[in-house]
Amino acid sequence: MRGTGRPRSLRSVRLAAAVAFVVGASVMSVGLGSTAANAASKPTLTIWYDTARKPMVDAYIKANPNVKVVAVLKDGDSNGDGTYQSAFALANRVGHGWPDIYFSEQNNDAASLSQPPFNDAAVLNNGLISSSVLNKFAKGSLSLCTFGGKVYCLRNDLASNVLWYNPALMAQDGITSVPTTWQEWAADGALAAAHGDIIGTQGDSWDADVYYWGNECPLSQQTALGSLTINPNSSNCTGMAALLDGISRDALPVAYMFSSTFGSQYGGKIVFYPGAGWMGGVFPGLGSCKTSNPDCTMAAGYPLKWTSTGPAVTGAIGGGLWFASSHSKNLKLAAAALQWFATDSVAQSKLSPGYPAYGPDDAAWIAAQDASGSYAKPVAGAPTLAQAFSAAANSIWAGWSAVPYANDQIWASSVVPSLSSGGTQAAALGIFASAATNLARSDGYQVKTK
Amino acid sequence: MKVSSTASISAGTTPARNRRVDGALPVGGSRSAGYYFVSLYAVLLILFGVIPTGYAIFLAFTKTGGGFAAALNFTRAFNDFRFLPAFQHIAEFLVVWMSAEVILILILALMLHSLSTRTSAFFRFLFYMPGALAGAASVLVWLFMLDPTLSPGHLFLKGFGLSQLNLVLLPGHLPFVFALIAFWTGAGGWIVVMYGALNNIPEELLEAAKLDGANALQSAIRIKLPLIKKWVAYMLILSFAGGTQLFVEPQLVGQASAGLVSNTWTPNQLAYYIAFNNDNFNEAAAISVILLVLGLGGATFLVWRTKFFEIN
Repeated sequence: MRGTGRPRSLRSVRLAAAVAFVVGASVMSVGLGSTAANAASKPTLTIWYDTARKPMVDAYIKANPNVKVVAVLKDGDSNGDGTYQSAFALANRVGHGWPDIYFSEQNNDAASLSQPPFNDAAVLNNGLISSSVLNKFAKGSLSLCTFGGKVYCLRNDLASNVLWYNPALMAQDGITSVPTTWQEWAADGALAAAHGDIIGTQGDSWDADVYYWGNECPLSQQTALGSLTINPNSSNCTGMAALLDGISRDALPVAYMFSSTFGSQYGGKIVFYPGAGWMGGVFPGLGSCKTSNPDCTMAAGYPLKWTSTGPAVTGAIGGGLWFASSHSKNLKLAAAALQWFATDSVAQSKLSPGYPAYGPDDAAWIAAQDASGSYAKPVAGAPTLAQAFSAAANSIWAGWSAVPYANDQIWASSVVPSLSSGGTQAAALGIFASAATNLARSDGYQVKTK
Repeated sequence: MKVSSTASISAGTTPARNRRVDGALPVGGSRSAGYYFVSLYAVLLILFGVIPTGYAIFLAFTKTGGGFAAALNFTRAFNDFRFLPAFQHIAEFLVVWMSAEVILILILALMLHSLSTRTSAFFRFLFYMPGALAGAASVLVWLFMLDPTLSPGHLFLKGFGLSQLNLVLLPGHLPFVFALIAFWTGAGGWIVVMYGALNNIPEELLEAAKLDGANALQSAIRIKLPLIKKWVAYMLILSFAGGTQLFVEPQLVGQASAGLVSNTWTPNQLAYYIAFNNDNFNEAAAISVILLVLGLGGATFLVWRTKFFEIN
């Protein structure tokens, strides 16, 4: 116990300095080593993707041995949780860390990431992707990606809404034909409810994408760059709200399809479900069906119309987007990879769960689906899977635009609580419009409410 | 047998000088060991506390593209339509949570203090266990507990008419839900601290009260509580500062319930949203600075009212 401790302090300082030097030197040598190795190696492509895209990414890696792929699994920005915005905001701040291409499940990312303040998506229609390729995407499918005439992303799949129906349950409930209008569908609700079955749900975050987008209700309509119409009082909106409010909640319950209990509550009771094309593979996983109905599989009908003679219109739930980063140092390679993911016939027809947005791949995708045995045989007079999907793909209403905020987030946090506690769809419209208007204005939009 | 916990807890209130006079530790060695301990913390405090705070203050007064912004970021934050609701939510949460803390933690600590050492040790361990879970893990536990279709307490939830998670997470219930999670996670630690503080009360004082005819309740209210009020203040200061920064619980519950809780429910979430969804770090920093001022203001008030730094 000699001295006051100062010598020990000095020793510690020297020791700390030595440790810092060794650590620093090691880090520097690792950095220099990897830089030198990279310079001599093949081109690198960083891809951000979600779980469902893993088979496609694996196939790309296999098909492109000359490209060093850095595949980073993300959540695809699902439910508008802002993962990509967070990652890009940080990368933009420090000036590195961007991917070369990225996949998003979130349509609003088209507006958010391609526009200021992010500017993280490369313009594709200025030579990166040829117009002959762009023109083969389904009619209007790239409108979500287009701002001021510039195309910023490619649609992976359309996710357009069809009417899913269970032929076995229809027969059991005494419903003889597949409805083609919203009114017929609503009327069948009484028959379904009498047998304990449902004709869809409300209170899911995608309600607006199904019921309001599908009836040309202007809740997210960009009229010019920076101008948005949010008009819940349009008759297209109020008419649909009144129709939904007229259906018993036994037939159209407030429920969330991906909740832990949806399968046990409704798994074998879904006679109809107006929803996205990709849902066909989801229904069989929702639990066992009734003993009298061993078949859980569904068939796809045409999207519902407002009147039988009216135009065919539908919405979409999700449908992935492929982007090339505006910061990519190898944009040509990034664009080629982007084109491969969005258009390659094997990738799109066999490895992608949704109906391809790229027209030439549709037939192969349908054939693969038909061969999978995941769908029920259509009832007499109803369309085939190919007819239903093709009609839906060409009926997406272009008046529903991508905006920088997540519409489904608003619906979930503002509208679902109201519906859950007995509120009506008519009230839901006002709640949604008010929240969306506030968000749009805070994002710099001029909002018209009429 | 209460001596060991008393010694560890009393370090903050008993002047260290007294122990040095006892000669238990050599003066020089004690001083240098103190510097070592403090320096480790000081480095972390500077790296992850002081520098980020300074950076946040700098950003809050800077425009997005650079240049002095004066109060621009603050006025933008104040005028944001989500700003006042977020503070309202946090105020409701703090009232529920801090009231529960003061009342229940003190009652439980006083009850533990009146038990035999072995029984109280068992309960202290039991109460502390939830605190050993990481914040995110405890949120997941509560997601399970609050879903009436999964929860072991489903009969209790259904008794209140809550048959679905949607109904449990209605906007009016959220302050209570988050207070419940926060209390469950944090109360055990504070019960142990309060128990230690109670052990710090001289035995003679309690004996004297007993001789004067004080029953257990009178002794608790008139002797024990006034003597541990600084610890209660300490708990309130930390809880207020931590509670105003609530983030993990609403963020995770919101994501796990597909968005039933707004992603701008608390001011900290709003700051996160503005920073990362709107790429506006400056306005987000302004909200952080407002939270800092609130936390400091609350702490100053409590320190002043309870004469926190005065040594007996």
